[in-house]
Amino acid sequence: MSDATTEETVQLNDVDIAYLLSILRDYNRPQPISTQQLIDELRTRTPRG
Amino acid sequence: MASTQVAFRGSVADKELADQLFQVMSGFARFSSYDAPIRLSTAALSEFMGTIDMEATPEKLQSLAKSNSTVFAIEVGDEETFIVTTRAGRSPVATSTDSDHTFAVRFMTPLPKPERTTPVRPRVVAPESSWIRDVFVPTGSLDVIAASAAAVPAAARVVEQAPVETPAPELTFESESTPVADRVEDEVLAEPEAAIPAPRTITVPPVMVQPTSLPQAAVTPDPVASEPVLSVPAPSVPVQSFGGVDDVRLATAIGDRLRMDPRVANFGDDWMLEERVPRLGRNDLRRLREYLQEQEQPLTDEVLAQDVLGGRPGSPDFEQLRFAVNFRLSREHREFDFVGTRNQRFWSTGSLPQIGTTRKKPTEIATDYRVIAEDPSQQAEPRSVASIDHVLTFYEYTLGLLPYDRDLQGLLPAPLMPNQRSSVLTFECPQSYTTYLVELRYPTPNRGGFILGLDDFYNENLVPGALLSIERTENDGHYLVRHIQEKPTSARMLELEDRRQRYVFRPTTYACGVFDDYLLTEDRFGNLAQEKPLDEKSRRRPESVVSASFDRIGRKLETGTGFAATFNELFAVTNIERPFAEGYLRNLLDSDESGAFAKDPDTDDGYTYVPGSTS
Repeated sequence: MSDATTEETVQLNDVDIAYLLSILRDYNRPQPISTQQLIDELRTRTPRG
Repeated sequence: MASTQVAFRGSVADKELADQLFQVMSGFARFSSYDAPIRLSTAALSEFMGTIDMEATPEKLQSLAKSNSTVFAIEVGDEETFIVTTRAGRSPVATSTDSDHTFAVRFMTPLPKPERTTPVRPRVVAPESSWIRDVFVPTGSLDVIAASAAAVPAAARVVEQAPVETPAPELTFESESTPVADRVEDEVLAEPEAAIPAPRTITVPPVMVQPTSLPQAAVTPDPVASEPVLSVPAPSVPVQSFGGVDDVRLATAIGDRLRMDPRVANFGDDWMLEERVPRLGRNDLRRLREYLQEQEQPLTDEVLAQDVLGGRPGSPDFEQLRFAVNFRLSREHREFDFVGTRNQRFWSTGSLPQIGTTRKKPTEIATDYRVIAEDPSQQAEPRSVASIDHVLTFYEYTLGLLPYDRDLQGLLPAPLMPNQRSSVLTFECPQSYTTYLVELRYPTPNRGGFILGLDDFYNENLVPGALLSIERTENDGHYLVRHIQEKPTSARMLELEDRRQRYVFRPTTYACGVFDDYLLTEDRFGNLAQEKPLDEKSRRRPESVVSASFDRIGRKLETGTGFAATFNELFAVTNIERPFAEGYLRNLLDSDESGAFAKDPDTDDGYTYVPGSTS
């Protein structure tokens, strides 16, 4: 697991995008989904590996 | 018609009589089909035969039929006896209709669907790189894969295959270990479970793929190894933790990546999968356009979704419908313009009447405010201040506008969409319970920005020189505008008479707080009466406007060669002709290279103007 620090330019990798797409595909979530909701999901995601 | 030759039995006379009988019966049913039964009573036949000189009693006919049973049949009825034959010369055979396989029956009772065994495909355990990109593997799934792989027989094992970069030979299947003869022998002697295919190597044909970050995997049987060896291709891109990243930068990163993905639909801060966004047909777009034209003003996405598309606020799919309105209309650049903000999404279409004054073209107003666009000190971060105060000038009052200067830039939102030229905002005046639709025109590189549409608010509540405050709300498209309420005061105030195009003073009653130095009353600026507005050429030169303002204020120097005025007087009068920001006017007066304008040492914050130095 790597940390994106405050100094670096933040870039999402393929796993992050796949995770966001899986959230957008979730039929149980009210649509549309706001950017803030996506940010919260990224922050609260349990890291693996 | 060919007659049927039939052989009869009996004597010659009987044969002749039988032949006559057959001819009579065939002639009677000559239009019947060959195998249709011809049924006639013996009495009727006997009577007819008598008429053709062939005497035959019914009994005789019956005996003839009996002796030629292959040709005739005898049916005994209740009262009569019938002789039956066919035109084919055969005794009729009882037939029955076979209805077992009629088309109608097969239609109504179709055969049951044949049972087919579905082919079982071997499941590939290792995910492909493209799948990894699209689907998030939840936490712990790799552990599950590892656990399940341990239970898999050694025959199906996942091994890594290095990415292929160079063309490989053609597809070949070759046996690695035993020759054919030995293999046949082994198959005969082997136990049932030994029928597993012999180990082999599958060489994948050349596929010119770009090496990806994730290794590709192939399923290869490996019965030799005793210990199960599992190598699951772990993604080379690690899962990041965004604990130390602020929301703004994370939102930018999300937007940068998702906006490039054609599967994702975005409008403002909202995201959906494109395939799940409701679609609007040509008819829907036409109705939306016509409704906007009918209402003669920009409308919000909520109104459009509700009034035109029939959505119900509060229903589960209403937000999706709103998103569809925004997302789909944003793709129709030719017909629809987005003129809203993040929270209040207005849409407009061509040929809508202009919001605000028609006294001056918006492009001319924007040119007048060019000084704001060119002044770096007039730039501010959008939505960085909660409220502003502003003193109304004559120029702003007459045209019902506000400059998009540093103060308003800090209060109002930036354009939401790229290439968005204007935003429609709502200004609510709680003191008069009135909400005004105003249009914020964003600046361009060589033209300034401004707000149009406050004519009525000004005319009903304010005068030039009045103080007003604008306060933002949580909705970035809605603002509260207030003025200071005072006791009604009457004065003769400056106005521009449209018909004659002259400045006049008219009695006016106002009940708002004013900044006295900026008040354009007849008492202070009587020289302005019957003055004409400056011509366009003089108006375009700020120095000319300032010198004309000195002249209009009309306070001559004691030397008689020039004029004097305070800064506030100059600010009020110059803003009659064109907009002057305080800083801009101060800079013009202080740094005049011609020497026409100078500080007045005798007056507090005063300036002098000596004609002749500038035209």
